Order: sequence, then C-alpha cells, then structure tokens
Amino acid sequence: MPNHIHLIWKTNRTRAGTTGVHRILLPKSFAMNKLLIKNLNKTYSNGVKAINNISLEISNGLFGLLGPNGAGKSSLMRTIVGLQHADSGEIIFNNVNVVDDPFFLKKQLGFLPQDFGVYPKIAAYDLLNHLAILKGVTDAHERKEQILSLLQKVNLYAYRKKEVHTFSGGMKQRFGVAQTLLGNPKIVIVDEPTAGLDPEERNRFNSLLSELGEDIIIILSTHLVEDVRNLCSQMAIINNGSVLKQGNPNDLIAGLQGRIGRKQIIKQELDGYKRDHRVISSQFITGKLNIHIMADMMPAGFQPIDPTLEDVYFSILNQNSN
Amino acid sequence: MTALFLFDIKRFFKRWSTSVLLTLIVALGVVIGKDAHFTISESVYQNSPYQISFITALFSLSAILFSTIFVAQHANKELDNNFQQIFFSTPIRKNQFIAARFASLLTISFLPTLLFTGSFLLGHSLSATNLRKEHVSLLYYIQPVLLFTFINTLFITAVLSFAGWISKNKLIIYVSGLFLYMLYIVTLIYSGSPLMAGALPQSEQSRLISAVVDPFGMSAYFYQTSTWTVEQRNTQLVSVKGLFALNRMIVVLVSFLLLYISARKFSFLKKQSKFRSKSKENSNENNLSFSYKRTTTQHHAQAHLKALLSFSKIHLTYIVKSIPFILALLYVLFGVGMEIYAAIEKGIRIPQHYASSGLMTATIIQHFYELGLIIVLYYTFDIFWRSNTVRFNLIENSTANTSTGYFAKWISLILVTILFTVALIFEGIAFQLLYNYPIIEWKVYSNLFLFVSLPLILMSGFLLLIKKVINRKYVGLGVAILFVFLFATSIGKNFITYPLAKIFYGIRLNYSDMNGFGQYGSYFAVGIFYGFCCLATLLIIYYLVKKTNRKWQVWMMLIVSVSASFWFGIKLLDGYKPKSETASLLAQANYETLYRKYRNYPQPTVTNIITTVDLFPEKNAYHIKGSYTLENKTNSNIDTILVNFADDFDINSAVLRHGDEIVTVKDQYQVLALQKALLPNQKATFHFNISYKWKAVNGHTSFNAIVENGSFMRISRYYPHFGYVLENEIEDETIRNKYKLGAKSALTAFDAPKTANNDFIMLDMTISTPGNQTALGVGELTKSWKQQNRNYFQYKTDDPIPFRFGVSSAQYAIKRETYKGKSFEIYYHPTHTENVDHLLKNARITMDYCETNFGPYPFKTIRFAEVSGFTRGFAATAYPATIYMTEDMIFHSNIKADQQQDVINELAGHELAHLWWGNNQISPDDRDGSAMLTETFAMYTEMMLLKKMYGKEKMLDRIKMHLDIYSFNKGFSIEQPLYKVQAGETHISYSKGAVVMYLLSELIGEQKVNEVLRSFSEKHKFPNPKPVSTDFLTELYRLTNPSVHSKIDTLFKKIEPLSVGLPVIPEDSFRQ
Repeated sequence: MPNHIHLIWKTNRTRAGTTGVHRILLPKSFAMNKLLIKNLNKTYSNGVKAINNISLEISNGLFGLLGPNGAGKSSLMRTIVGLQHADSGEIIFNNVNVVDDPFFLKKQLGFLPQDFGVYPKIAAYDLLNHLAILKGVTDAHERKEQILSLLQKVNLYAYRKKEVHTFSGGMKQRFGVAQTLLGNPKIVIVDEPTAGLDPEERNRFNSLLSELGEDIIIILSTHLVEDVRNLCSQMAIINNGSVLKQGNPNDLIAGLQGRIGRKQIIKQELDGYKRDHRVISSQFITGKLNIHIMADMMPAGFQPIDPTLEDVYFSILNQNSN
Repeated sequence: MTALFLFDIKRFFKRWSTSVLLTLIVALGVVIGKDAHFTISESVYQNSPYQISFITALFSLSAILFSTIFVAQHANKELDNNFQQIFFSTPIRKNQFIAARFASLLTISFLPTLLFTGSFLLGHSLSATNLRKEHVSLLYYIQPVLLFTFINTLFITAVLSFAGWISKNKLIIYVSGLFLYMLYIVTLIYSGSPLMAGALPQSEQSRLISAVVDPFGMSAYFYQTSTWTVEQRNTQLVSVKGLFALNRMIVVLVSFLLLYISARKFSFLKKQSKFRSKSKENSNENNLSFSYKRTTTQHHAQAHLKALLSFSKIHLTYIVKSIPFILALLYVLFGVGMEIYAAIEKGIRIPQHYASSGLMTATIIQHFYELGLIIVLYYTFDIFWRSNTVRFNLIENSTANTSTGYFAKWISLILVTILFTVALIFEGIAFQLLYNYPIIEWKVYSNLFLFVSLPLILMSGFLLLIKKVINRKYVGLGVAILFVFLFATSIGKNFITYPLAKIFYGIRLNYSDMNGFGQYGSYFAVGIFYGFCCLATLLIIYYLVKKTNRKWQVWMMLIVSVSASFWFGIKLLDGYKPKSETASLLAQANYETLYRKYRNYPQPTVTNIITTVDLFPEKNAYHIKGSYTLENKTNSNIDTILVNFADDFDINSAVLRHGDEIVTVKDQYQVLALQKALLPNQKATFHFNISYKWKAVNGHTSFNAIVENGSFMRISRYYPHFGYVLENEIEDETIRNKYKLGAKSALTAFDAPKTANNDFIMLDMTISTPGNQTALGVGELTKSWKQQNRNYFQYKTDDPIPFRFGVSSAQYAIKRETYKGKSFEIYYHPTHTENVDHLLKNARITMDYCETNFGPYPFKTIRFAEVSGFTRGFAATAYPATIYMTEDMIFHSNIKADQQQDVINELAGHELAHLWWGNNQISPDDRDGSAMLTETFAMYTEMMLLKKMYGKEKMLDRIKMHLDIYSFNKGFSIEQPLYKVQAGETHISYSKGAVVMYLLSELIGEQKVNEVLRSFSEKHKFPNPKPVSTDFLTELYRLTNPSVHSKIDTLFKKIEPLSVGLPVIPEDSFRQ
C-alpha cells in the first residue's frame, strides 16, 4: 500500500491561457473525499418533480451547481444534507450510504442554506458556540479558538457580542459562512452564498472558499455564472430538476469555440432573429441591444467571438427549452 | 372606504380558521351553558331580564380576548407584511383608513363575542329548571346586547386599536389587552356584583364611583338594580337613565375620542429600529489574531449531553429575554397577588386572616395552577417550533448531535416553571412581610413544588410528546389545547371522572396549620409518579417505533416503566368508590320508592346510648361500637322497624333484641319485621359495630373529617337511625319528575299542633385516640385514662340532650380556668395562641350575662375546641358543653387589624348563647320560624354582649352591617316575615333578626327583652313540647304595654323596610 497519494489538479485557465498539470505527493492524511449521487428522484406533494433522476460524482475541490431560480438546486442541497428524504436513488459519501445513515454525513458537514433565520436575543459568539457544540466540538478551548478565528475571518469579530437577529443582511450572511466552517467539515454545501453581499464582501468570500477548497468538497450552488467561472474546477448545469450538462468549465467553453457570434440589432428585429437563428442570449450594452447566436457556420452580419461560460450556460438552457 | 371595509371582512370570512373558530365558540358556549348551572337565586327566573342582562354583561368580557387577538393580527396588517409602502402610496386618506379598519375590527370582534354570549344563553336555557313560561320578550335579549356587548366591544376595540396605531407594535396591543382584563377584574370587585366577594356589599361611596367609572357598565347596572325585588328582577329591564345612562354615554364618547386621536396621529411609515451602523469599535481588538484550525468532533454520549445543555441554555436565554415572558410574569404576579389580598382581607364580615405561609401557599396553588397551564401551553408551542419559525432549523438540523432535542426543550420548560414558582414564593414572602407576619415556613412553601411545579413539568412533557408525534404546527397545538382542557381544567373535570385520568387536576384545598394538606399530599405525589411512569412508557414506545436499532436495554426500560405505572396506578385507586351524580340520585329515588310508605309507621325512639368510638387518625379511620335503648313512645304497637345506616360505613355487626327475639341487620337500609310487636312503653335494645375509613381518592368529607390532626365528626349523623329519613329525598322538582316521584314529603306545617319533646337521649360515650392526642365529646368528662399508648375519655350527660353530638381529636394545647364553679376550657393548636385569653374573657362575660338574664347554664364545663380547616362550612358550631371552631375562619384571625372587629365575640357570645337558644334547652322542630328561636336570639345575645364590652357605637356599626347584608340579599328570593323564616334564609334569621331584635330593644328596653326571653325559656324549654315562634310572641305581647304591640307586629310579622336610627326611646317609658 502506498503511503502517499497523488493529488492532481488543474489550475484555472487564465486569459493568457495555459493549463498546467501539477502533481504532488501528499501524505495520506489528505484523503480524497467523494460524493456519489445516483439516480436521485424527489417529487413534492403538490406534484412538482424537483429532482429528476440526477446522478453526479463530486470529489475534493469546488463544484459549481449552476441553474436558474426554481431549477431544483436548493431541493438537491437539502436532500443531500438530509433535511428532506428522496423518493428514490442513492447518495454515497466516502463509501457510506447516507440515505440510510444521514448522521454519517452530518458529522462532517458544513451547510449554508439559501435563506435562514436565527434565534432572537442570542449573541453571535453564543450562537456559534451552540452550533459548534452541536457539531461535536466538545473541547471548550478548541471551540473558543475556532469560533474567534472564524469571526475574524469573516470580519465579525467586533460584533461577536451583538445579538445576531439585529445584524444587517450582509452581516448575517457572513455569520452564516462562519458557522459553515465550524468543527471539521469534509463537505461544505453553500446555497446562493453571495446573495445580498456587496462586491467587496463577495470577493472576500470567494477567496475564503478557494482557500478551503483544496482538501474538502465544496458544492457551490448559484445562479451567478461568474462565481462558478472564478472558483470552480467542476460544474453542472441544472434546470427543471435535471442535470443538463456536467464537466470542467474550461472544457465546456472549449466545446463552443467558433460557434458563438454576436450582433447589435434594434429591438423590433428581435423576434425575427429568434425565428431565423438560434439566439441564445440578448442583452443591452451601453443602451444598445446585442444578441448572441449559436451556429456551426457563422452567418453573415455576426461577429464570431470567444465563448464565455455565460454563453455555455445560456446555450445549454436554450437547448433544453427547445 | 366601504371598499376597504368589505375587503377586510371578506378576507376574514374566507379563511377556514374563521369557521373553525366560530364553530368552536358556539360549541363551547352551549356546553358551558348547559353544565354551568348558573343561577342567581332560586326565585329569580333563569330567563328573566335580570339574569339575561347579568349573563350578557358578564360575557362581554370575552370581547377582550377576541378583540386583542384580532386587533393584534389585523390593525397594522399592511405594516406587518411590509406592504405599507405600496398600500399607503395610493390616494387613501388617513380618516378613511382608520374608519374602515376600525369598522372591520369592531365587526370581527363583536361577532364572536355575540356568538359566545348567545350560545351560552342557549345552553343555559336548555338545562335551566326555573324558566319563565310566558312573555319572554326578544327585548330581554336585544337590550343588554346593545347596552353591554356592543358598547363594551366598541370601547375595548377602540382602546386596543388606539394602542396599536400609535405604537405600531403588536406586543403593546397584547399588553393593552392584558391591562383591560386586569381592569375588568378590579372593577368587578368594586362593582357590587352578587357573585363577587361572597355577596358582601362594598361601601356606598365606592359603589357610586364605580358606577360612573366602570367602563364595562356592570357597576352602574348593579347600582341601579341593587334594591330591586324579585318581582322587578323578573319583569323589568334596566332603565336607561341616571348613572347608568351617564356611564354608557361616557364610554361611547371616550371610544370615539380615542379614534379621533388615532386618526390625527396616525403615520404611514414604520419606525426605524434595526441596528445598522458600521462598527465604531476600536480596531485594537483585532490585534489578537486567531488562526483557524480544524478541530476533532465527538459524537459519543457525553457530546450529546453537552448538546442537550447547550440547547437548554439557548432556549432559556431567548425565553427569559423576551417580552412575553416579562408580560406573563407580571400578569401572574398581579393576578395571584390580587387573590392573596382577597384571601387575607376577606371582606367586611370576616376579619383579616394572618398572612401565614400556609395561606400564601394555598392561594398560590389554587390560583396559579391554571395560569401556569396556559403558560406551559404557550411555551411548549413556542419552544417546539421556534427553530422552524425563525428558520434556523435548516442550519441546526444539518448538525449531528441534535437527537436530544426533546429533553433539551423539556429542561428549558422545567426551568421556566421553576422560575415562576420561585417568583411566586418571593411574592408570598413579600405579602407576609407587608402584613407583618414574618414567620416564614420554608417547608410549607416547598409544597408549591409538589402541587404546582411537578404537575406543570409533567404536563410539559406530555405536550412536547404530543407535538413530536403529530409534528404539524397547528394540529399539534389544537390537540395540546384539547389535552390540557380535558385533563387539567375544571370544565374538563365534568367529562373525566376516573381518578387515574385526574392526576393533572389541581388541588383546591386550603392549608391547615393543624394538618397541612393531610393525606392529599402523598396522594397527589403518587398521582404524579404514576404520570411520570406513563410518560416514560409512551416515550419509550415512541422511540421503539421510530428508530430501527432497538437495543435490548430499551426493552428493559420499557418493562420497568410499565410495571412502575401499574404499581403507582393501583396505589392511586386503592379504596376508590366511584361517585356519579346520576348514581346517587338513583339511590335517593330508590330509597324513596321503597321506604316512603314507612313515613307514618310508628317507630321506636332512642332514649339511651352507650357507645365507644375508637379513633385512628393516622390511618384516617375509626370504629364505633354502640348500644341503644329503644322505647315505644307512641300509642300504637310497633311491628315494623326501618333501620338506616350511613353511606360508606362497613357494618361489622348489628342486632336488635326484643325480649327473646334477636333480629340481625346486614344491609344499609333494612326493614325489620318483629314477630312480637313492641307495645307502647316497652323497651328493646339495638347493638351495632361499624367502621369507617377515608381515602383521599374519594374527595373531601367536611363533617366526617378523620384526619391526622384536628379531626372533627358530626358523628351522631353516622349512627344508625330509625324510620323514614326525610333528608334522603330529592329536592329538585324536575329531577323528581324524571324519576316519577310525585311531590315531596311536607315539612311540619306552621300551624300544626306542637310536637312532643320526647326524643332526647342520655349519652355515655367513651372515645379513644392515640397517645399524643386529646379527644373531646359532649357533656361532662367523667373519666380519662391511658392504656397501651392510647388515651381514653369517657363523656356522660347528666340530663338528656338531643340526638346530636360530635367528636374532635387533636394534639391540643389546653388552657383551663375555673370561674364561679364552672370549668372554662380552651383546646387549641399550640401556635394559635393569639386569641385564647381574649376568648376566655369573652366567655366569662357571656356566661355571666346569660345566666343573669336567661337562666342557669345546664352544664359544669364549657369547652371551646379548635378543629382543622378540613372541616368547612361553619365558623363554629355549638354542642352540649362543647363548642367546636374551625381554625381558619374566626378563631385564628387577626382581630387587631385595621377594622378592629372583635369577631371572637361571635364565638363566645353567639355560640355560647346557643347553649340556651338551641341544644338541650330550646329545641324547636323543623317548621318555619324555628331559626328565629335559635339564630335570631343568639344574634341578639351577641349584639348585647358587643354593646356591653365595647359600647353602643360599636354595636351599631355591626347592626348597620347586618342591615346591609339583609338589604343586599333580600331581592333574590321571596321574603317571609321573621317569625316564619325558612331554614336556608340566613340573611333573614341572622341579619334581619339581629336588626329586628336591636330595634325591639330600643323600643322596650334591653331589660324588658331579657325578661321576655327568660319567661319564654322557662315555659318552653325541654321537656315541654317543642316551641314555636308564636310562643315567643305570646310572651312578648303579654309582658309589654299594648301601645307597642302594633310596632312589634311590624317588626316580626310584616315585611317593611327597616332602618336603623330610630330615636332612642328612654327605657323606662314602656315598662309594664
């Protein structure tokens, strides 16, 4: 048995565009975590099929789950975490079926839900203390150190004695991030984490995540394409409860190379273009309407452009709705 | 504006919860109405305008509940749902909004109140027995609804809306609702309501002020109707004039004023309250740098325990810091505080009680328990759903160590309960210090933990389990409320009668200094243990059902808890004798059907009783062995004898011997047929051996209280009697019709010939009791000795006494004094020394007075004996040579407190006088007017002694009080003149009697009255035929000047308004 493992990862492709393959020898303590989701299904009592035969394979690093509102991201998150039961399918974390044994997952989990509240009249430090105990951090000294360090990390140290229910939206979100990292999480699931944060706060959060993402699984569920673009080494696009596309962002972008074109049009022409071409997105740039189309052969009038992850996203969604 | 109003109304009625609520209200109203047996008095019709108005006014209280809830929910609906910015940017004017919103709030508050009142009236009329048959006008209902329900709801809603619109804070609305409720309770006390304060009137001045100021109109109503006769109450509606009209107008005007102010001051935006400022804290704090390290996590049992404690701490923190908690605490302290005040002050007739720890504890138990249930209901709901409600559950439930949730919540509830209990203990101590009785008995207060905290803790456990099992927010709440309602409230008591299900039913007992809570303490504790075992069983079953890994240890625990439940349950039921009202009515009906025909059969008279009573207070049991000498004092032969034994006694043996004939008696009621008839003047003997044991599970028996200390039994009632017992008949006519019984047996008619006085007995009674107690009987104590660690006392009568004797036993302290050849003895609980000397002194003065004026005292001893508060229903009762007094009504009271009432005089003067007017001297039969010869004359003696000891002024105060009592109560029943007073009319025999005798003494002089009384006594006491009230009047006419006879007629034979304050007529002008 080797007493070391190979850790291979690829760096994100920069604009200048080189990929590198780095191989490093690490002691076995940095084990590879693996989450396997097989044929997961969930239908709500009102008939909505929130999770439709989803299968995913996720290991260490940042995994982006991208989809519009109502796609089923939060349902999937809650099912993985064990807050609701799937109708059928398997969820296997590190070789343990967590549908049967949800506590196995919970012992190693950090979870930031999309929209949460807090008990009234409890200070930030005390509430984190409570959650830390619930997560099993029994040593008081260790607990205190960890909580204070997290508070510093999310820049809430000065407010540690203030009651959480009086925090502003951004502060509460930061609190949420802090509690996610209590204990010893091997899998962190964050659902729309940057909602309500201003750009500076968002940057800080992203750097925190990427710092951590090296030896644990982080599933980042969002509808912001740029976050996935900036952070994630693997991603899946999900809509209407199904996984539409899965893979490495760079690969997905490369797949569209040469097939995306752009044109500036006037508003009234939009419907016409939609009939004739595969318009995947339309947006205003400095007040003028621009459309992107996907085509194997670029028609006249369209300027070919380097595809972005946004184009990938819209094209997949567009494909799905056709 | 109408659009706004209609929108609100439509929304309200569309919700399914509205229909559920309204249905529940109707159902509840009808059920309560049927079961409440609400009746002002027997003579006032139950659907008379007076009663209907009374009920309607009372039920307008429910508007406070409904209005508070609806105003809190709907007054600021736009603001609460963050819709106000859109809503108020439309062209709606403030006035329009206020008017429309108020109209809808008023409607949805008025409707349930009206429904509740109406359904109660409906239920009430379904079960009422005394209904007016004709001319029940609809106006009887409409007028009070308009004047009370509508105007009160208007006022209440105006106040609450005003609070809501000015403060924009839901909690302020709830607080205001609470204050309105407190206001209601306070005004009810001063309103002069017939139902409050034991029907004792408040002073004229306070009633006047209340009449104007009471916003609910009840004081004004009672003020106007206080002097009405029965006839008026049955026919007249309250007239809208005078103070009543003034009050209603003021209330309406104030309501509109509040609305006007609301409209003026209303603002569209909410107040800013969120904390938003960026940190101004110094960055010095950030110099300490912590590095983030992953930590190890544990999930063993100890980690779960830590989680449990952390949960409890969190729950407790946010509960205690929240405003509802403060509110609840304040309200509890206020409500219970008022009750403590009432328990100490007791109104004008009874003096102030000592603010002892026992009194505090009993009051808290009686009045906090149901409040505590509401608090427990609220907090179990709040704690259980809190994490979900604030949406923290998403994070909390994603952690690993959450399995101890149930116990964590329970622990928090336990702590909340204990907090309240401790707060109340401190309140009790505060009252004790305030009333200058600083003897603080911690052991007594610790009873609160048994009687209040433990059942509430047990109840929280059950409610949490219910919520866990049902796991749906509002269904769980509904079931929880139902559970509490059925198993723990006095209304649910009607449905649940089996003791095993009654463990939650609070205890309604006073604390006795002599006897604590008696057997009820351990009985209650057994019930609670039983409850805990049941809860444990249910929890284990739930766990086994839910979880998949069933360890064998859990099965073991299940077996243990089930067997423990059984064991405690059996202990609880030991000796239980189920009593249902229908069963006892049936028994009464059967008795009458079987035995009424023996009413006119000649029966033997008991002339001599030799008996032994062996008391076992520590076992709550006693034995009676007795031998009767029977004599045929009639003119016919007796060949059929009906023997009656008392309920709940074991008949060990009973035998009648007549000559050679021996007849055995085995049943409680048995008809004996003699082979050889008992001829006139012949004698027979009857020997019996019976025993009795009391069990707490069967409830209280006031006059058969064999308790650990301070036992008292009216024991002659439980000896066997012969002949048809009239008292066993059912009184109520409707029920009699149900059992097809016909008319009641008539009492002796007023004009019937006088009854012979030949049923007195000679008594020889030996009582035995444990070595540390003294037992007291009636008559003279002839012998006492000790044997095998028991004390024996033999009591004998020198002269015959009525077949009426009693027994008490306790660890007494004794004070003895010989005065003019007689032994004056007081037997009392060692810590109740305050009034002993005073009582002795009063007794001496009374004895002198009565012997001088009425005749010699027939015994050599006079004993006053204190008995425990378990005996209720009288302050004192007089037997031959012995007067028994209950500890908590007069004997142990604070006569030095503000009102300076010497109620010890009631014991000495009044009761001692009964040894002349009653007992073995004046012994009337059961016809009308008999109470005049006993109670009225005793009251007269009491008043004269009061005058002698404290002067005429003091006596006049007391006379005026009795006049008030009489005036206040006379309008509730058809009045008889004093000389024909009926048995139950105590406001006439005691109070009117006292006033009449005083006026008589003013008319002819005290000396003359005493002369008449002495003469009456000599001519009519035993063994003369039983006296009638006209006998006294005959003497009175005979010994006075004819010029005063018409005034005497007015006083005794007519019903005319009395007033105290006649000119004092010199005593010598009317001497004959």
